[in-house]
Amino acid sequence: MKKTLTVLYLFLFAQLILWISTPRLPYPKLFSRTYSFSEPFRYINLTDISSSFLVSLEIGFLCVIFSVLFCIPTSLFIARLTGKTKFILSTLLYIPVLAPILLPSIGLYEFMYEINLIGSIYGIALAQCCVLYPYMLKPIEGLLTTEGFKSEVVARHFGASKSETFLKVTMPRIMRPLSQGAFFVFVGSFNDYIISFLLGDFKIKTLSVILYPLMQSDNRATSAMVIAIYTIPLVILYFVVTKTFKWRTHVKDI
Amino acid sequence: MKAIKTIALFISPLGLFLIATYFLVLPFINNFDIDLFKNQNLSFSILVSLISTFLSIAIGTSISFVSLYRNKVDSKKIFEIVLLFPHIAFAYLVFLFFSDEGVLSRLINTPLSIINDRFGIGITLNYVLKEIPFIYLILISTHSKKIKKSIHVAKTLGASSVEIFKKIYLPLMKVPIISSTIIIFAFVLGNYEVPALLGNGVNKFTSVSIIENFQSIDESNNILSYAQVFILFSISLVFSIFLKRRAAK
Repeated sequence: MKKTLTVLYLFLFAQLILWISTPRLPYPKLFSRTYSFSEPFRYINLTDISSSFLVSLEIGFLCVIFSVLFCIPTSLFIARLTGKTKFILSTLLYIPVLAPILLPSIGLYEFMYEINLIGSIYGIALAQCCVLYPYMLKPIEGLLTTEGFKSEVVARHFGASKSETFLKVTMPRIMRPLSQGAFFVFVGSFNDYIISFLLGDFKIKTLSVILYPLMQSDNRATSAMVIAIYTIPLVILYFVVTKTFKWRTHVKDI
Repeated sequence: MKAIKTIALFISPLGLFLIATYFLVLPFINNFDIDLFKNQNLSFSILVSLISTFLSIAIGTSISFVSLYRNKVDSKKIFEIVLLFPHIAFAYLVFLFFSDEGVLSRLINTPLSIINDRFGIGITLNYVLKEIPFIYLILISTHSKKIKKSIHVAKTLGASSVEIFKKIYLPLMKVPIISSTIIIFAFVLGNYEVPALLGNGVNKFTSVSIIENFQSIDESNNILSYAQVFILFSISLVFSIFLKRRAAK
């Protein structure tokens, strides 16, 4: 089963090369007599694509910054709670995972409209942060709840100040879940379509907002090329980050 | 503490949605044409979401069990790449491969009609293929040494793989499986871009009609979009409460 799926995924990815290189492929032919990688670029405005790419990157990084600013104090607060209060607060905070994305999107649209942040990258990043922060909050809170605050107590006992304890004891402990969460928030923000579309108000064009009309236009070569441009940086970023932080997704030996 | 709970409620996305509903929908509720509700086809969205969720959970759980049973958790890079792929881009890959003029139709020389069909096969296929890696990676990251040891002991005592799956793996992995089920169901039910791309105009997904109604210039349609979002949220909530209660038994 796993091998069949792997082969199917490889086919799905490999077909991109076929569609990019053969802009006109009449049915039922599978291969063309001529191949050209330059054809899709005739329909792609590279300036638009690169500016959208930069906008997507900017929103992604802003979203990560907002999430870090929200998740660190919140996770430190929740991890110390117990009983019903913790249950109620956790339930409220994790609603974005449980609710269909349209609920926060529409709620945030009206909220951003009131505070005049429609059509601004800050509005989009803030709205995405409101939906994506649980992916950062959960791993940090999980680690703090499991490991407790013994190290911090010891540091304070030996005379460390609150800020020293936070910077030299707590931060190194939460660095791995924080980096994992930051990555998921970034990918979520980079891949988001509906919030960027609703809150961007046609003024802010992220890559997904540009990609969607192209896919509906049935220009397969161009769409395939944009998908490649869209996903290759994410894959590269993933391998760089996993190597840097040495994440483990294999069987735990705890 | 009560003040913190109140603040948390109002800054949560649910609170923002409720505030928006209170200020923007309730004043105009008298203008709402109740007949609009009768034309809604919620059952199609719920059915497709349920089938997609359970198929991906069943396949993802089986693959992760087989990996653990055979002690092989290698070659997961391709699954990680699929997980990274944006839904919108992956949906287009599925479209290019399975559509009537897609690669598969050309390979078997018969035009397939599983994309943009009225039964939602294309949408289901896309979600199943996209969510299997999610389940697989979530489950293999939560396999603990306890499960490995229990499986080893059961194997030594002569238990079959089906028995081990039913009596050891599923009960011990209940929590992550149920959490993943809830996340996937809520996601599939509320996702817009995939049904908009792979769906059909006859059987419209609720999320697609929500966006259409939200962007409509007709006030009644705007109010309807809020009601539809709230219904979707209620369905996800009931589904998650139901599953969590079943898990607690």
